[in-house]
Amino acid sequence: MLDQYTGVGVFLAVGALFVAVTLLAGKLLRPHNPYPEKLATYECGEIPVGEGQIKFHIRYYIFSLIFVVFDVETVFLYPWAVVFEEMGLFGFVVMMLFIGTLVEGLVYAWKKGALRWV
Amino acid sequence: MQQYSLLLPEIILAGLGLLLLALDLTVSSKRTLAVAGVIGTLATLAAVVANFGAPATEIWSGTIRVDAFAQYFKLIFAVILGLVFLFSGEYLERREVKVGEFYILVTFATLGAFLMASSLELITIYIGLELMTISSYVLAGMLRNDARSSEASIKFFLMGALTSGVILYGLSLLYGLTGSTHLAEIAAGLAASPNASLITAAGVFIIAGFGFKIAAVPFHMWAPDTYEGAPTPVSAFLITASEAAGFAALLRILLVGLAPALPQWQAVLAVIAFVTMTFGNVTAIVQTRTKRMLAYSAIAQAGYVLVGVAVATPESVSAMLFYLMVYAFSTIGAFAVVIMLSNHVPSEEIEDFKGLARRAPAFALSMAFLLLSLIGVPPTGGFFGKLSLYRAAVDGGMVWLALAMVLNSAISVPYYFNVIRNMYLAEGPSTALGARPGLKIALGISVAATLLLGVFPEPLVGLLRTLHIMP
Repeated sequence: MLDQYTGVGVFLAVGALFVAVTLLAGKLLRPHNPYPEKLATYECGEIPVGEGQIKFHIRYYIFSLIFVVFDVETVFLYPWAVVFEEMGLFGFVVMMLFIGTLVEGLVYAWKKGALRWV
Repeated sequence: MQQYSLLLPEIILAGLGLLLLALDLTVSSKRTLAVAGVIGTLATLAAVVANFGAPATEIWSGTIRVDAFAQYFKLIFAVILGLVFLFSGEYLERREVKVGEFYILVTFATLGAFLMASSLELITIYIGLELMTISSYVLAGMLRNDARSSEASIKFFLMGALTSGVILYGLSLLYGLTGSTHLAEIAAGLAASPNASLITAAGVFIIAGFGFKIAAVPFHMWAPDTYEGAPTPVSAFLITASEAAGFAALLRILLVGLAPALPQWQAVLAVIAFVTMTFGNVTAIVQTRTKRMLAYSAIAQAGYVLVGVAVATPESVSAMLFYLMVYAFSTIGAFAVVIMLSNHVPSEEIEDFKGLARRAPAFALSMAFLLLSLIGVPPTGGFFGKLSLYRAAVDGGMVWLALAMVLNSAISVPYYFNVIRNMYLAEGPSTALGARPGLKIALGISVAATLLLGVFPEPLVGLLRTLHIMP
């Protein structure tokens, strides 16, 4: 029973080793030249205000929730796109139903003011 | 395309949920939503009934199973959903609950219950369970300005999340032991390579997890607070539909998947059943608030139903299925009266029932009749249901459990009769009370069904004899 986990153990060890080796190699090879802008938190191009470790407003949760729904949707869209030609009209209709359901939920949340920052 | 006709009840119900979403945005009259809900539920019911005769079929790699057992539970869920649509409107408007969201969530919760009943596949059962419970967490907290409702929701959510984890762990053990998530294959796998300690561990997690969902003692501590704090129509839904769905899944998992290991669990389940009914009944006696009393009564009733699981014979399963149907009607009807009363007297104390026999004679009479059914007095459906459970327990060799049921029925008399005494013998205000037609219809249906199941139980009993839980 336990020897079935040998593969898992090897995988874990190789994974840990891979991270250690690449980080170490990077540290040895790269030039060392820090300056304040480089050390600042990356905020998608915005100038960061304050520390990164702050209390986030609970309202972010509703946005992230709605975001996650469509994030997961893409996971389903990719394999669908790959086999789209074989599935034909049926596949198209089914996926439209799926997307339509999600869109209806988004429209509902939108109309109910869930996306408004008050 | 045959698989879609088999799935028609679920498709209609999902469509109803989406339709209600759209209607909530476009229509200003909330009664339109309730009417649409009732019509959609009737269509779902028709689809369920139409599928009843079909032979047991598994579709989509065994993830969905359509058989008479599933259809029967769907019948219970759909009936409850329809009655909830009928009796909730006035309550929700008076308490300023978001009516549209309520109808939408209750529809999707029912869809989850449908999925739980119509699968022998663990992942589908689990997804159904989550769809139902996540909707229920929100439903329990819909009285936004009521701290007790928020408390109900938070408690329900925390306990629910924990127990979902417990259930999942038990299911993952079954998968680890057998390499399958399909209950029939799990049973074959367990019979072929018995690993007693791990099967026991899986059983412990599954029984404890579902014990929480059906509020069996000692896993009940969340239930009274949640059922009391939640909006009353939500309590009614949770006590009936949610509990029945838990039983549907538990029956399938124990009697199909864990069948090879079942004998070792029967004694444990019998003890849980005994403790549950006794604790529920004894605690209910001292309650002064209506919903809390009904919550403990629901715990006790779950104990009676568990007798059917513990005895685990075909007779006991049909007896418990019969009882679940009667229980759904009797409880929903009793809640209709509670809702009517709390529309006028928001405090929801048992004292509020004082003088109801003069204020609203028809309601008082219905309530008395439904409570008699919950005690198990002829000619109600509750009597016949308890009688068949009793007989199944005796035939199954659990005479002590049958005696415990009888004793418990006697213990339960005081608190049910306390309500009847308040209605008929105590002096109270004399202003007449009324309700909207929807609530009256819901109450009428519940009383008629409870009476019918008590006087003419044979058609349903005959139907139940043809149901087979095993594949």
